[in-house]
Amino acid sequence: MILHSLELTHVGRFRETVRVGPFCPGLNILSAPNESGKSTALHAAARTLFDRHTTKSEEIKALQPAGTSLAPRVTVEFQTGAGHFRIAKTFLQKPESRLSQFRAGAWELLAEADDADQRVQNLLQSSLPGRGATKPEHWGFLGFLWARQGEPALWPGLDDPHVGQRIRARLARVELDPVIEELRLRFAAAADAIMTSTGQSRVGGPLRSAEEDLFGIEAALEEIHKTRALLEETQRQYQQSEAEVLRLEKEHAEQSTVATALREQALATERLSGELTARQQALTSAKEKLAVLVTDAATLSRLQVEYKETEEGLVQARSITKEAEQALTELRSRLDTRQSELPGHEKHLQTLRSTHQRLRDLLKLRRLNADAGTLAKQVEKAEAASTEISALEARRTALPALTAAQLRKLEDQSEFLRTLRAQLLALGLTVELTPDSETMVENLGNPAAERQKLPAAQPHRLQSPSAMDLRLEGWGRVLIRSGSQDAQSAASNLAESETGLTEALQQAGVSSVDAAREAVATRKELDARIKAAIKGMSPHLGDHLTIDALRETTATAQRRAETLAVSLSLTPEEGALSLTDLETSEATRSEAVPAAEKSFSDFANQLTQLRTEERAAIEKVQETAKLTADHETRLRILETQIRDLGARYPEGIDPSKTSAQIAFAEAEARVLATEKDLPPDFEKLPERNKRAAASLQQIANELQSRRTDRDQSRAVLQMLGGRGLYSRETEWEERKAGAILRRDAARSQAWCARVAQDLIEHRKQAATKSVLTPLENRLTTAFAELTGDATRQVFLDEHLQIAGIGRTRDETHAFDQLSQGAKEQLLLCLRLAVAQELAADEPQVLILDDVLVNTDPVRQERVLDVLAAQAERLQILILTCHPDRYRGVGQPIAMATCQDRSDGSV
Amino acid sequence: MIRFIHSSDWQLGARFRQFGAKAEELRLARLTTLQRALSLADDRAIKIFLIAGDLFEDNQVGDGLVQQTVSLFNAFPDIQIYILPGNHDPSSGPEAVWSRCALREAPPNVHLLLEAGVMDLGGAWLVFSPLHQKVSTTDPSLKLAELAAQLPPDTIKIGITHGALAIEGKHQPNDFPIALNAASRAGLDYLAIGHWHNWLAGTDAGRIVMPGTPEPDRFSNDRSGHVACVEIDGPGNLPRVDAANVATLTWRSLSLDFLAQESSRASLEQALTDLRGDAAKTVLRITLSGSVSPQVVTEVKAGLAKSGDGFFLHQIVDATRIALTDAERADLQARHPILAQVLADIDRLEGFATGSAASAGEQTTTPLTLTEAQALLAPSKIDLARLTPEWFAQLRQTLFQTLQEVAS
Repeated sequence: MILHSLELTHVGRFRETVRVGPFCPGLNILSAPNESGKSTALHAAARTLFDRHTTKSEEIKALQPAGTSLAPRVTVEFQTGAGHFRIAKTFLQKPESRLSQFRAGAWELLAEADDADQRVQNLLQSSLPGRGATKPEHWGFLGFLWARQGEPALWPGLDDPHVGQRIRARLARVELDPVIEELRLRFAAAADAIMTSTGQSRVGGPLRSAEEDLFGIEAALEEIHKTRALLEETQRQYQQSEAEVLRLEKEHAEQSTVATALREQALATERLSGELTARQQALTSAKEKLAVLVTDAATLSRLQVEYKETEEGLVQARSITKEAEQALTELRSRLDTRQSELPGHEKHLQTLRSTHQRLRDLLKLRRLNADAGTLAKQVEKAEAASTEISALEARRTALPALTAAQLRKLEDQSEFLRTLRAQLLALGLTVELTPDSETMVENLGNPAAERQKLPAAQPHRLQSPSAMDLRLEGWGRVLIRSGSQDAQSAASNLAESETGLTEALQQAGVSSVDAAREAVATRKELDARIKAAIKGMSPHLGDHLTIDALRETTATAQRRAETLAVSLSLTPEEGALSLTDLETSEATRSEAVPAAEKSFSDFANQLTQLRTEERAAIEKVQETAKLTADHETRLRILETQIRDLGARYPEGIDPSKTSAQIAFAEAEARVLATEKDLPPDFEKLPERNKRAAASLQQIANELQSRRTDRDQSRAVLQMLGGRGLYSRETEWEERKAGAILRRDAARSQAWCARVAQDLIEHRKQAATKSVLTPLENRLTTAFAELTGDATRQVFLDEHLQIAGIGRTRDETHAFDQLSQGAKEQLLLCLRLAVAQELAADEPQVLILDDVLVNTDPVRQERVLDVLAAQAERLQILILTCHPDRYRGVGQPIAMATCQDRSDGSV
Repeated sequence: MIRFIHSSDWQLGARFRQFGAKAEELRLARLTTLQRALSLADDRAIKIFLIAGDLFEDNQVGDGLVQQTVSLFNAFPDIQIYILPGNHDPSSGPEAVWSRCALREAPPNVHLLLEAGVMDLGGAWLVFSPLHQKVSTTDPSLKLAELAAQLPPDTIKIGITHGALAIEGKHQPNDFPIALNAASRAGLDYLAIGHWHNWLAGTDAGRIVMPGTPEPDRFSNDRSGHVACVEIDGPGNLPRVDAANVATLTWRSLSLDFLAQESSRASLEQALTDLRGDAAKTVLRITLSGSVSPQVVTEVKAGLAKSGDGFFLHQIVDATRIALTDAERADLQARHPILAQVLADIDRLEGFATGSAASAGEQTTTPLTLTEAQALLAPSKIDLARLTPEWFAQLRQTLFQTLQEVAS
């Protein structure tokens, strides 16, 4: 479709009739300021072309002049492959629609009202929404070829089954198999009737219906299952209760028998028990009487035996006392004899000990004197050695304090001096004198030098470092000077070194290097000798560190000897005794004293033994006396006791005991007879009887409780059993099977349809994808023309949407991330491509409503170049508020007010 | 001599889930058969009618069914009916069907054998051992031996119980195993048992008989539909047993194998012709198998659906696989290349879903990958693992059928 002209009345700001156009087949520029009604005019044209004339939606009302209720009226003259047409519509009030075709130079009315709307829809291959105004996706190809103001980067999806798919097919040059497309549509419809695109069952569809039925059935079944579970649980309880009742009934019967027997037994036992108690009391009495008699008889017998034994003991005790007194007398006599010998033994021992001690002191004095003499000799030797060491140290002190290192330094300096002198001689003056006759020469520059005699005709050399002042006899004074700088420097160094050496020798306290050398050697020798002397003195000192300590020890020894001598007061005989005599006497005494001590000790022991025996004899005498007295006392007591006991039984104790034994045996026989009549554990019978009665009652109570439980369970079971749960379950199960069949069939059918549809779509997309490259190349070329950048390629996805631009498909910049300007330009290229394709069948209009607002001037120029080239095949309508950008391009379009014509023609 | 009818496994109230609305009619047929069996006894002047367990499918069958059953028994007052609880309707307590009012107040000719015991039949002793639970490893005939030992020796003794014959490899251990010599072991002249649904006689020298269900209930029970008419001349004599067919419906399973299409189709048509006369009382299932073109299978199914008219119940089980001839495949490829690719994709999908190798169909240059397949199915939440070979057959069938509709 291309546009020829528009005429608008009561539209937007146009209260009067405004005509836009005519448009030429090529490039048209509708240039006007903002809010002058350019876009409104185009929107009104779109409403006229695509909306029902009866539509009263807000989009239509928006066409009315603000604040009025005027009816918008729009006439659009357009051309399609089918011819040249004009549609005139009045909206809102008295709506009308008239479609005319220009034939043979005149307009011919083709259709009116809804028919006119439908005819236009067919011509433009547009569609209508369910209700309300149309949207761009309903506008057929124009939806893609109209870049609307404010939406330059929006591109409709191509999934619309009619226009979108055709565009896809055309763009990708894929000739769709109409059968396959129909198949796809049918499958889509079939799937949609059953399930949603997200796989959910469609409300009202067969799958949802089956699912709902199933849900209800399962709820009913669940209820039945619950009741069944209750029944089974109750059945279990019933069986338990029944078994328990049977067990308890049996137990009750058994327990009842046991309790009755116990009760009767208890009554009989109670009677016998009373009788037994009386007989037992009689038995106890007889038993006690017999026991007293037996005890008394035993006591009497024991007393009589004891009396006899005490009598015998008394006789024996008196005899022993007499023997003990005799032994004591004898022992005391022996003790007196031995005690008289004791002083003699003591005196002998004392004498031996004194003699022995005197000998030992004498020996000690001799040894102290010998030690003191030895120490005095050691002191003398040590003092001699000490004197020698002191002399040597004095000699060493007198020597210059020169070390070997200092000597080496002096020697080095002397050697250096000799070297300097040799250098100086090598550099200095050498005068060779050969006199014709013998003469004397004197060196005035060296006063220390002696005069020398020079023999005739013999050469004689004189040397000096730098100058020589000679006096030659017979010739006079000769002064020779050297001009050598090195010699002067060497001479200076020599003088300096000589001074240094002289100072060093002075500091060392020696006159020359040789003297220093001798001093060092002497010191070394003295050190060795001092060391040897100290070593020689060490044996004389012994364990003493110093000679003073030795002297102190010696003095101490002498003092001790003197002190001991004074205390001993030696006799002349003792002084005359030799050391050997003393030692022999001391050894003799050393053996005699222990022997005497042992002998004395033995004697003392014997004495002690006798005293001990004396004390024992005394004690024995006392004991026997006491034993005799005790026996006499006891004898008297026993006599009294025997007399008293015999007085209790006048008839005699044995006849009384026999009578008591007979009485006890009779009582015991009566008790045994009664006990024999009683049952075993008869005393526990009352308690057992009580327990049995209580147990019986408990069993009866429990039995009653279990019977109640059982009866209740039975009632519940009978009630539940009568409900026919299985039959009801059967009914629901069969319904469920039917519902599952329906559900599975519906789902299976839906899945078949959906998978078939998806597979067809998948293969279509794959086919589209395979032919994307030529289209991408066309777009890339167009985009390169616009941008001047031929290095980037445009990539599409399988939906023919622009995926992005870049050097390779894997390195694209996504469309959404591009700048607004780039998006505009890319979509312009795409629209041009679409328009080119569609123009092959019929002329197409491309509307660009102020879309290049984000494009820079350079690209703007390129866009104009491209549009100018495309205008040969397309009608391009540019709406702009920037006339300067399109100056000199295309045909300017005017918006002019004109008279309203009653026939609606333009 | 004594004469009686031995039946079992009536399974009144049985569930026929797979038959939907027809299930109720199948249940009614079982009552009809019971009436037929009682009429047979009446016709033959047999006064004793034994039911060896499983009169009812379950203890919780509806009261209406119980009432209907008792009414049937009431209609034959001269026949003494002895009913033994089986494993489906054990005498397990107050909830059991035997406690229902209708049975408690049943007419005097109905005898419920709820506890083990003996009963004088007038000329013979009936020794019975009913079941009290659904499963047990105990042989219920052991009780019969114990009871029969107390009876006079020179009398006819007829045992009745319920359970599986202890045939090696054929019974479950907890299925009330009955010894194969249970009758002779107990000194019985005849042991009437029930449990399995096919006729089984001749065990223990012909003294043990299991008549099977009198009304067939599945296609595989090809020896069901009978009651046993028994005559015993005297104590120690072998019984004479006659299998009397009393079934109301016949269950037949036919097949059509497209591998041998002509002969198979001829056999099927012949069988259908043979069954036609009794179609109203025939439950029919036809199974289609083999590989076949979609068009053929559509035609055959339409034809069979028509042939099934008049049958009591008619089921077609399609186990065929769509197969295209080379010419059909080439034609499809030429005319609808995308469809040929889609069929190849379906083969691939089936391979992914079932693990089967893809058929030798069209191989596209870019075969469908597993990832693509999952991506395709994901939006609709179709789980690849749930897709079965049957579903793929349906998908191909749907595709070809729709193609045919569109093309026409």
